[in-house]
Amino acid sequence: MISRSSLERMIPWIVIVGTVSIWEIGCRIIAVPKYILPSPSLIAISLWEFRAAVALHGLQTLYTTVLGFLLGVTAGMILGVAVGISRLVYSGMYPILIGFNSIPKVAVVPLLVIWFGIGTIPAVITAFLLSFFPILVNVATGLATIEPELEDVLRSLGASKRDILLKVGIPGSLPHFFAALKVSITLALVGSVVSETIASNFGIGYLMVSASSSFNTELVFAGLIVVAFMGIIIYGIFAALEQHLTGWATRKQDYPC
Amino acid sequence: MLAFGIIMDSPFVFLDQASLIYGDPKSGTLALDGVTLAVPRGNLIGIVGPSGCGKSSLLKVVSGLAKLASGSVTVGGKKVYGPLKIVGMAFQNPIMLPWRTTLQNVMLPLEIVEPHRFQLRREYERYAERAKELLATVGIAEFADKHPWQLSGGMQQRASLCRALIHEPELLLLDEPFASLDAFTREELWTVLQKLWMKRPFTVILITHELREAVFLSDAVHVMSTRPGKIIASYDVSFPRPRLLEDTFRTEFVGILRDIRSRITQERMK
Repeated sequence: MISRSSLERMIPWIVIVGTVSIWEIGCRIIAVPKYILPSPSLIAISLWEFRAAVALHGLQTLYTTVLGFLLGVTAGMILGVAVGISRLVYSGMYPILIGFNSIPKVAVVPLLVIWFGIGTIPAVITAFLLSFFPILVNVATGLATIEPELEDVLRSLGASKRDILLKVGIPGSLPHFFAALKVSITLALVGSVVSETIASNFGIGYLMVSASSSFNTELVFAGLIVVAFMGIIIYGIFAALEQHLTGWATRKQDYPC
Repeated sequence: MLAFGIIMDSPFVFLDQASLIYGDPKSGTLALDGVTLAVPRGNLIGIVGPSGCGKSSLLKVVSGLAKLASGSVTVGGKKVYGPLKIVGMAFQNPIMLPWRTTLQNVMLPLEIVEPHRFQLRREYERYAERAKELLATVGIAEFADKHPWQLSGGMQQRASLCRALIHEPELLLLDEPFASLDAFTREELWTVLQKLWMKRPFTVILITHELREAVFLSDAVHVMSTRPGKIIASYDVSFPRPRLLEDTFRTEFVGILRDIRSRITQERMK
């Protein structure tokens, strides 16, 4: 009998292996043509065969994603703090920000191509556009939810707005910030790949489009899997960082005595 | 010469016909209606009254966090126009910062109040020692390095008291600080507060709806009316200190309690 905690550790792998097995067996039994749904083994073979190309394009996608994400985090943090601490900025900016966020970013890519040409820049900007909004909203929410009584305590000690922001606002909004990071990094990846699919000759998105135009479905799937894998890895990095920095917010109940 | 004498004896906190309106000055809610109240330096006074009578508003006015519609507030001989910088505060909710240990929470005011904020880094050890002493006085020294969620409600409230006092404020404002505690912890904390206060008499305004608490701790108890709040009765409580919990069952004590209670009941019937 395995213990509950070791089951909890193993369950993600069991689910992954199970899904892949069902997929593989299904493909073989039903004999789906490989240009419609290739089996995992064929995808793995394709991934190995085109490893040099996949690595090259993968690194490009990683590069545009991370760059766009970092820009998104910076802009989101600055705007989030501004919106969170100033009612005036909040009232002024919110309608326009929400309107902006409602625009499908795919529709912006052609415009970016007109301005910047195809390639790296539109991909970075699309990643940026998708990733900055969750950061902004969460940082602003974190700052706006400071306990009013705590603010009273600090103000009656002569604390400036800056003191309150540094001592309470920013540390207090860290859990919100990290939650947003985890959403944003995956959105940035989506943005990069979408932009590469439409307007690039480099990156995983481009690799998938060109593979699909020659009915190399295995390679399309290989591209998807690389993107998913990158997403999981980066997400994992931020989740670990979050646990380290804001463990206090997700602690288990631990009573004295 | 007479004027001189008045200044010498002037109360530490003095509200003169203080009125407070929330919202629009014409159509808003009148929370305080011409409150006049004098608190001598080093006194501990209690304010009681039916719920919603503006007791908390009174504290906001004294600390300068809320602006008066009319009248004036004077603290330490100076008119109050904005937030005071010397006040310690504690509320019903202890509001500790969850990412800090108890000791770090208690030391928070030192990072803000001048001149401590400029000396804290250099003399951290000395300040930490002072904070630990304070924690020991309220009986939670061994929890200094624990995080707030590892403390019970009563312990958090003790820490909250320490935080309100660490910078040695001249004025301590308490807004129902013991209201969410069980009866035994509450009574124990009364004696803790009395001990802290007798060690270094600062001026205290204690808001509470617990009459025994008010009478046990206070030099004077003031009763507020229902909204809009004003002071409708004041009772001097001159029992010698330190007072013991058993004293609260003595005839004189119960007598004052009964007077105040009937005054509030009368007010609520209106």
